Parts: sequence; C-alpha cells; structure tokens
Amino acid sequence: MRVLEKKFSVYFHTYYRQLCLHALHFTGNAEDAEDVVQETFASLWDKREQIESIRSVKSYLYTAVRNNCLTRIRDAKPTTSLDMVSSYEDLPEEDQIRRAEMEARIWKMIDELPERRREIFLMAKRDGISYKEIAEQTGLSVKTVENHVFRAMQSLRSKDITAWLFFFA
Amino acid sequence: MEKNRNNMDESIGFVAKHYQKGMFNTAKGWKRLSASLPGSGRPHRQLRLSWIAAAVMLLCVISVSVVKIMNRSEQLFAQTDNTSFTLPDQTEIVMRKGSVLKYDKYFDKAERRVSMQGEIAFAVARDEAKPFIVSTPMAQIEVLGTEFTVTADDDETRLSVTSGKVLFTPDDPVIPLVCAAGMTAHYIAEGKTVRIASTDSEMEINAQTRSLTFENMRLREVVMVLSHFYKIRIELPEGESELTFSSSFTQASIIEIINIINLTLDTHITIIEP
Repeated sequence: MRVLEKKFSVYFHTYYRQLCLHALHFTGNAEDAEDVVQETFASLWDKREQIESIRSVKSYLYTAVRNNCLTRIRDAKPTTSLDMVSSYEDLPEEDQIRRAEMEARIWKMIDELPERRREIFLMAKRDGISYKEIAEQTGLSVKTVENHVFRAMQSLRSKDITAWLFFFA
Repeated sequence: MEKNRNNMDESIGFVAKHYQKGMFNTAKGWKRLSASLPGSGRPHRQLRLSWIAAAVMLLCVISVSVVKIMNRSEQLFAQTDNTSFTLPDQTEIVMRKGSVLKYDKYFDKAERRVSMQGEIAFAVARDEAKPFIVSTPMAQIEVLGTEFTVTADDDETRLSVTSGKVLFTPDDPVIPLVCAAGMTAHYIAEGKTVRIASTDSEMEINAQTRSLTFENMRLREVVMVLSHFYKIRIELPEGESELTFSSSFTQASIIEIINIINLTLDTHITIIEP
C-alpha cells in the first residue's frame, strides 16, 4: 500500500505540469485543463492497485487526459476553436509528449522570471499590447520594454536550447 | 535547429497566451488533489520531480567575437555582446553587453577578487593558492578552479557551472553551497530565496517563510544545509551520506525534520547540541 502511494506521488510530481499543458491544447482554457488533469489523477488513484499492470503509466496518462478533454469539449461545445486542437491533435503521440514537456518547462521558467520582466513579457506576448503602449502604461522607455521582452525570450529559449540538445545528444 | 527554434517560439507564444500565475503548479495541484481524495488513504507526502532531469539549466556562452573593451583602470565595461577578455591571472571571461567587472589589476593579494554586475562567463585559471572570488551585489561566489556563468543585478544572482566546482554564498540566508558542473543556483534577495538545481535534484531554501524543499538531494547536502539553516551541528553516519531525500518543510523544527528523515530512510542522523 505504502509503495503504491509513493509510486502514485512520483507519477503525479513527474507528470502533473506537462499533462496540464497537454490538456491545454485541447481545452484552450487553463482552468479546464487543470480540472481535467486533477480528475485524471483522481481516477488513477482509485485504480492505484492496478498501477503495476499498466505498461507505460506516462503513455496511459497522456491518453487518458486527451480522452477526458475530448469528452469535456464535446459536452460543452463552444469556446474552443477547432483549429488549435487539430494541429496539435495531428501530431504523433511522442511529438505531443515532447512538446508538452517543453511547454511545461517554459511555463515554469515564466514563473521564475523576475516579476517586472514577467509582467512586461506577458503584456507583450499574452495581451498583444504594443511596446509603445506598454511603455506608456508602465512609464518605462520603449527601449527598456523592448529589452525586457528580448531578455525574457532569450532566457526562455536559452534554457530550452540545452533541453533540446539533450534530445539529440 | 532552425525548425526547433520555430517550434520553440511557437510554444513560447502558446504558453504565454495562456499563462496565469500560480496555475499548473505541481505543489498546489498536489494539495488540491490530496484534499479531494477520500480521507482513508491520502497519498503520502513526497516531492520528487524527476522531469527536472530533462531541464538542465545551463546558460552557455559559446561564441567569442569582437573584443571591444573600455579599460578604465581596473574596470571593464562590455559595449557589445560576447566581449571577451583575459584577466592578469589568465582567467578568461566573456561578457554580455552592459556588464561591468571590477578587478585588481595585478591580482597580487592572497585572493583574486572581482566584483561584477550583468552577465559574465568565467573560465578561471587554476591557482590553488589564490582562490578566485566573485562578489555580486547580493552574493559571493568562490571558485574552486573552473568554468561558470554569473548573471547579477541588485536583486538577483544566477550562477551556472560548466565545469569544476564553485562555492556560492548568498547574503541571507548565509549558507555556503557547493555547486558542481551542470548545476545552477538562483538567488532572489528580496524573497530571501535560493534555489539550487542539477540534472536530477533540486532544493529551495527560503529564509523569509522558513521553508525548505529537497528533491532527490543527497543527505550529505541536506545535512549541510540544515546545519547552517538551524545553526546547529548534525552528525551523519558516513555510510548514509549518499542516500537521497525528497520532501518539503515549512517552519518545521529541526528535530521534526531529522525524525522524518530517519523514519523514511531508516538512517541514524543525530543532533549534537551546540
């Protein structure tokens, strides 16, 4: 029993964030994505006695999350644009996994950006506000805003380049 | 590589578009899940993020290009990216644009001391007799002969070690942390938080909330951190120092922590009263 709980905990801590990103591609909405991943783990918990018999728990989780997302989308049709789902959906599973893993790292790295830089980065990349407008809103110079966004992109990329190198090493 | 870069930018765009602070947080997710499961058999508390293995955080400064340095006596200021320079002791550095390095022109003291701001990669010339010490506004890095990169401003210091070993000591909490090749240290002065990560382990020390998180850390390091954090002497049997431990504590007493380690790993760590 103890061993199973430990294993379950390891799976959760290992795959939680990347599964959230995987789900996000289907739901297009972070809250829904997180709910689906929570539900998926809750149902794995109910089946924990069988964990040993699942050949690849990782692959099982990715498939389960995808199916649960699709059920959810079907039940509540609107809000999700189909375009977004389809391009990711068309990828083979291993590419989806690789991408979700990379995006999970990017998510965590955004978490770790210095506060000010993160704010400005999100204004530019999430909210699509122009550098000029950001500069006006924050009282910074356009050059500084540009620099923040550039540096943020650089740190998200630079760490990931090494992650990519690992794939090919 | 070009295609990867495009994929990556597409992914960065995707993540940024949906990013919300505090979401997709493993620790929070675990709490939420634990609370929702039937009380009978809650998952037992253990943190172990082995996917960190894939996310080695190495900041590599590779290319060396145009040298353009304004040499105001002993101060270097990099006007362009990848500015390289050789210090009097043959230590080679590569500076990112806007970085500043102050150093002793002759390095004739007992130590080789430099202070810096910005981002600089160092390949330190070996000289066991004269340690190489980098001061940033908020932390000190003592080199034990090696290659590494430092990024520093008034609030944050990031260190990434390429080869050899580096001793990293933040101002608060004052804990000397040995960082080996492949490891990164990230210190945020305002939050009094220092995070050390390697390919397969991670720890976070927060002096403000008095919390400690270990993920797959060797007991040798765990005990070293605990003894500095609680200012106490702790004895760890030699044969147990290579075991690894994962858990997270907030405002726990040292006795509590030692008990938990001993219980989970069946070890014999003892506190020697100061």
